[in-house]
Amino acid sequence: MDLKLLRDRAENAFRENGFPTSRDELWRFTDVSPVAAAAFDGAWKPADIPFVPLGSVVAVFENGKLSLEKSNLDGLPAGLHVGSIMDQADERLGSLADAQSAFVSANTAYFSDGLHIQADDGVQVDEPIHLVFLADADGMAFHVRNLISCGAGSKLTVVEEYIGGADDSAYWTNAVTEVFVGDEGTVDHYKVQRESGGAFHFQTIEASVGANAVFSNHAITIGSRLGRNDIRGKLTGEGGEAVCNGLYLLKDRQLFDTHMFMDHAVPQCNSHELYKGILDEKARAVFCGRILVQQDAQQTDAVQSNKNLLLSRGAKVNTLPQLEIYADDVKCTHGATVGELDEQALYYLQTRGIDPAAGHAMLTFAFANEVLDEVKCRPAKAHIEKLVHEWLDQVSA
Amino acid sequence: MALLEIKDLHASVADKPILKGINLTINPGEVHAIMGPNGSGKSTLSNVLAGNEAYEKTAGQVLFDGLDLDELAAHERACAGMFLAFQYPVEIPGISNMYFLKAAVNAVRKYRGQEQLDAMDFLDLVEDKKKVVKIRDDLLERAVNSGFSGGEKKRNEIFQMAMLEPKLGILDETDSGLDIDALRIVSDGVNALRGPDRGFLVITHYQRLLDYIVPDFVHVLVKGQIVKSGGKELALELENEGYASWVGEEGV
Amino acid sequence: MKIENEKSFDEIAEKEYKYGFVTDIESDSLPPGLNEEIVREISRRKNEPEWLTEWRVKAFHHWTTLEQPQWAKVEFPPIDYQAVSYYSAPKRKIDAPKSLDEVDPELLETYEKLGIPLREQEVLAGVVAVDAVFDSVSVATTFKGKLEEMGIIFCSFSEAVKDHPELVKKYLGSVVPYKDNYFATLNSAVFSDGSFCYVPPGVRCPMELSTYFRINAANTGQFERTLLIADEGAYVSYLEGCTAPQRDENQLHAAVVELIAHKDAKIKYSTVQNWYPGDKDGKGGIYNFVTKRGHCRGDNSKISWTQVETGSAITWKYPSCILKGDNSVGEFYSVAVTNNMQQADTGTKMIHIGKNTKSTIVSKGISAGRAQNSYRGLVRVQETAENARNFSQCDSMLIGDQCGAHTFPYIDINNPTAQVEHEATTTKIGEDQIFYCNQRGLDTEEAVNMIVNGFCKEVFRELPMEFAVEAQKLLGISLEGSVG
Repeated sequence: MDLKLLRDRAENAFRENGFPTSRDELWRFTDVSPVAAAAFDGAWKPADIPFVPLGSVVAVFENGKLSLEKSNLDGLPAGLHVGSIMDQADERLGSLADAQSAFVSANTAYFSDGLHIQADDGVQVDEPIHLVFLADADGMAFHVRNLISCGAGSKLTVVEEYIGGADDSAYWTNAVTEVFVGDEGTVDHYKVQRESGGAFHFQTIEASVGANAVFSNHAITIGSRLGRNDIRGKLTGEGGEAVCNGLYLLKDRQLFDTHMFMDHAVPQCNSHELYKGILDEKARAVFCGRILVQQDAQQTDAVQSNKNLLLSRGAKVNTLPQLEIYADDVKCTHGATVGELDEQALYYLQTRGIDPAAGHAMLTFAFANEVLDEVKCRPAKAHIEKLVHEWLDQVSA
Repeated sequence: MALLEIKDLHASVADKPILKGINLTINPGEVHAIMGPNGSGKSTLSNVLAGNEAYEKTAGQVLFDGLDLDELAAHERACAGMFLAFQYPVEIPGISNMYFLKAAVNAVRKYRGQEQLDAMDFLDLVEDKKKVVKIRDDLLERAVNSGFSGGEKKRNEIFQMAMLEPKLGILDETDSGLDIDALRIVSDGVNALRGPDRGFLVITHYQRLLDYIVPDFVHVLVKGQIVKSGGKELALELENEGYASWVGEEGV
Repeated sequence: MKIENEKSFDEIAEKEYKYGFVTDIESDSLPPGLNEEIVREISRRKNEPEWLTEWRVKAFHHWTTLEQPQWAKVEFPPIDYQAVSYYSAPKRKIDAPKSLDEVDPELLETYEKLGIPLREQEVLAGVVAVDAVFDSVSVATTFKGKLEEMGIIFCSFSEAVKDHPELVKKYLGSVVPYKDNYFATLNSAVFSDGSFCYVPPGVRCPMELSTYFRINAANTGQFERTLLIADEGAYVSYLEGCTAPQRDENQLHAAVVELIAHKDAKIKYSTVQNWYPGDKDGKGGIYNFVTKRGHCRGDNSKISWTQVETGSAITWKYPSCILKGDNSVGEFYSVAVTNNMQQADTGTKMIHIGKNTKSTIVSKGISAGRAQNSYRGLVRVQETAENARNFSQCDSMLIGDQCGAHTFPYIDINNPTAQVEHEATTTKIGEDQIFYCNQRGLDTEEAVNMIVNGFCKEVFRELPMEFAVEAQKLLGISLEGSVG
C-alpha cells in the first residue's frame, strides 16, 4: 500500500479510537491514561548519554533522530543494507504490525525515523547490528519505526537498546519493529529497555517466520515508569521456530506489561517462551501470553512459561498464560508460577558454606539468569548479565 | 580430640520424635558406617548434623572439632569442615556449577582466614581435583545438578567434597539409585579422599556400598537408636540376616 | 484401569440422550415475559414475606441496568428474555404435598426413569437424602425426619423461607449478592425454588444430601437457588444432578448456589450436570449459566467443589471459593466434556484473603466433534493472605480435528509470600495407545472410553462412589460417535 495512504488511515484510526481504556480486555491491567493525558510538545535537543557499542555496526538515534555522526554504518558486508527508514521505501512496511492497536496506529501515522535493515538472500552476518536509542528530551514523543528483513537462508543479529538519561526525564517512546524472516533464515533479535525512570515506553515487535526459519527474541526490561511490549510472532511456513524469552526487573512504582502472541498457522512449527520477572518495592508486572494453534497447524510443539519472584510487600503480578487450540495432534503446555526463593536450594547453598544473604543473592541471580541461557550473541549476553548484576546490587543495597 | 562427638542426641521432624538418644564418636581418619532400615532415622541424623532447619534437635549435644553445633548455622558448619553429600542433591537452574563452586570455595576459605582464589587459581584447583575425582567438563559448565542423571548428581557431590576439603564427609545414601559402574566411580572418589585427618560417616541401607568404601566401624540404627556397633563384619552379618531381628516383622 | 461394567457399553450403544423424555403433567405457569409485576407475582404465589419480595424487585431493577456479559468463549444467538416463562409449577391437588404419597405419581415415575428413586425405602439403601426440583418447584424431600433429629435442616427453599426465615434472611445473598452478575441478578429476581440446608455446630451429616434438578415444561426457564450452611465444626457432603427433556428450542437455566462454611466446617459439593446438550447439529439444548460460590468464612474451614459437566448446549459456570478464614482450604475438581456443537466455558475462582490459605484446582477438559471447551479460572492472592498456596493443573484433550480446547487462567498475586503454580497441557489420545488397547481386544470406542476415564481419574476419585460410577457412564455416552 502507498505509504501516504497507510499513514492517513492510521491517523484517522488513531484520532477516532484514541488510546485504549481498562474496559478493553487487552488493556485491563494497564492504565495508559497518563500517556493519553500528557502533552508531548517538548523541543528536540542532542542527547549526550554514554553507551557501549556491542559491535562495529552501530546506529545511534538521538532523541528520535538517526545521528550519522555517532553511528557507524560503513564497511558493511556485501548484501547487507542498513539505513534510515525514511530513505528506504519498502512496500512491506505496515503489512505485519497490528493495525488494531492504537499505539501501532499512532506510530504508523507519525513515525519520523527508524532503521531499515536488509540482508539479501544467503547473506549471513554474525556480528550484531546494534541500534541505540538515546532519549532525554523532556516532553517529546518518539515514534520509531524499524523494519528488519532477512532473506532466504540469511542470518542477522539485531540488538535494539533504549537508553534514557539519568534525570528521569518524561518522554514517550512509541516504537514498532517489523521483522520478516525468509525461508531458512535466522533472525536473532534482542531488545534491552533501560529508559529513564520518568519515561513511557511502548513497543510492538511483530515477526513473520518462514519455512524452516528461526526467529528468536529476548526482551530485557529494566527502565520506564509505565510501559508495554507487544511481541507477536506468526509462523507462516512449515518447520519454522520461534523463541521469545524475556526478563523484567522492576522496582519503585514501575508498571510493565508484556503481551505475547504466538500464532501457529501451519503444521510442524515450534515455539518456546520463557518469561521471568523480579519485582521489588511497589512494582507491578502484567504478563499475558497467548498461543494460538490454528486448525491446520498439526504437530505443533508450543511451550510457554512465566515465572515471577516477588521481593517485597506491595509488589504485584498479574499473569495470564493462554492456550487457544484448534488442532488435535499437538503438544502444548504452559505454566506460571509466583513465589519466593526455594528454601531447599538456600539450605543446599548453606551446606556448601555460603551464608544466607549471599545465597539469596546467588539464587536471585540464578532465577534471572535462566532466561539468558539461550542468548547466543556473546557481547549481548555479557552486556545483559552486567545490567542484571547492577540492578540486583541496587535492589539489595 | 574427637572429630565428631554425638551425645544422647534426640531430634524431631514436625513434632514427631525420630532420633531417640544417639551416641557416636568419630575420630580423625576413621570411617563409620550407619546402616538401618527405611524410617530408622538415617536421613534425619545427616540433616540434623548439617543444620537443616526443618529438623529440630530436642536434646543432647553434638561437638564437631570441639565446637558445639548449636552455636553454628548451616553454612558455618560447612565452613568449619562438615560436608553433607545429599541423597537428593538440589537442582539450581541458572547457576553454573563452576560459578557455584567458586563461591563456595571462597566462602569456606574466607571463614578459615585463607586468601580468596582468583579465577586462575580456582581453575588450577579444579584441574587438580579433577585428577582425584573424575568429572566431565560439560557437567562443570552446566547449571548446578540441572538435568543431571542420578549418577552425575552423586559424582558432582563427591567432586564438591574434593573441592571443599572438609574434615568430615557425611554420605547420605550416596549409593541409592546408582548402577554398579556409577557406584564404583563414586566410591573411588571417596576412597581417594580418605586420609589420616579426615573422617567419614557413611549412611546406607545396603551393605553393597561398603564393599567399595570399607568402614572401620559399623553401627545399626533402628527406630532412632543405635542398637548394635561392631567392625566391618557386622555389615556382612546384616546382609545375611536383614534387620528383622531388631525391627520385628512389622518393621521390615 | 478396569471397565466398570458391561451395562455402560450397552448404554453407549443407545446413541441417544437417555433422559430426553417429557413428563405429561399439567403445569401451572406464568405467561412468558419479565417485568416487575411478574417478579411480584412469583413472590405472591409463593406467599413470601415482604422483605424477600422487595429483594427480588431490587434485583430485577438492577438487572435492567446490566448487559449480558460477552467475555466467555461461547457463541449463541441473543436470548429473548421476554419469551421465557419464569414460573412453572406442576399442578397439584392440594397446595403442598405433606408426604410422598401426595406427590403426583407421574412425577415419581419421572424420577424413577431418571434413576432417582424418591421413595425412602429405595433411596440408595438409606445413604442419600434427596430434594428434587421439577421445573421450578421443589417436589419432595426425603429423610427429612431423620435429619431433623440431628438438627439438620434440609428442605426446599420455599419451605425454608416459611419455616426458617431468620436463617434465610441472614445468609441469602451473603455470598452471591443480588448485584453479582447478569445471570445471578436475574436469578435473584425470579428464582422459584431450590434447596436449603443448614447443619448445626459440631454435626457431621451422616448421609449424602442430594438434589435432582429437572426442566420439564417447554419455554420455561429454571432459576433455582441453593443455600447451604455448615455451622462451626459441621460437615456435609452434597450432591446435585441435573437433566432435562429433549426439545428443539433452547432453554435457559440460571441457578445460584451459595455455600457458607463457618469455623472448622467442611462442605463437599458434587455436581453431575447432564442437561440436554442439543442434537448433533446444535439444535436445542440447555443454556446453563450458573453462579456457584462458597465462602470459607471461619478459620480452618474447607469447601470442595467437584463437577462433571457433560450436558448443556452452553455451560458457563465458575464454582468459586472465597478463602477468608485463616488456614481455610478451597478445592475445585472438574471434568468438562463437550461433543458435537456443545460449548463450555468453565473453571473456578480462588480468592485468598486469610493467612495460610490453600487452594487446589484440577481441571480436565475433553473436546470432540465441533465443540469448544475452555477452562477459565482466577487465582487471586490478596495483600492480607500470608503464605497462601495454590496449585492448578489444567489438562485438555482433543478428539478429532474440528474441535477446540482453550485455557485462560488469570493469576493475580499481591503478596510476596504466596506460592502459586499453574500448569496446563494439551494432548490428544495417541494412536499408539488405541492400537495397544485394540491389540488387547478392546474396540476403539472402548479404548477411547478407557483412556478418557484414566485422564479424568483424579477428578472421579473425588466423587462419592455412586456418583463416580454414573459419571463414568455419562462420559461414555457423551463421547458416543466421536471417533471414526
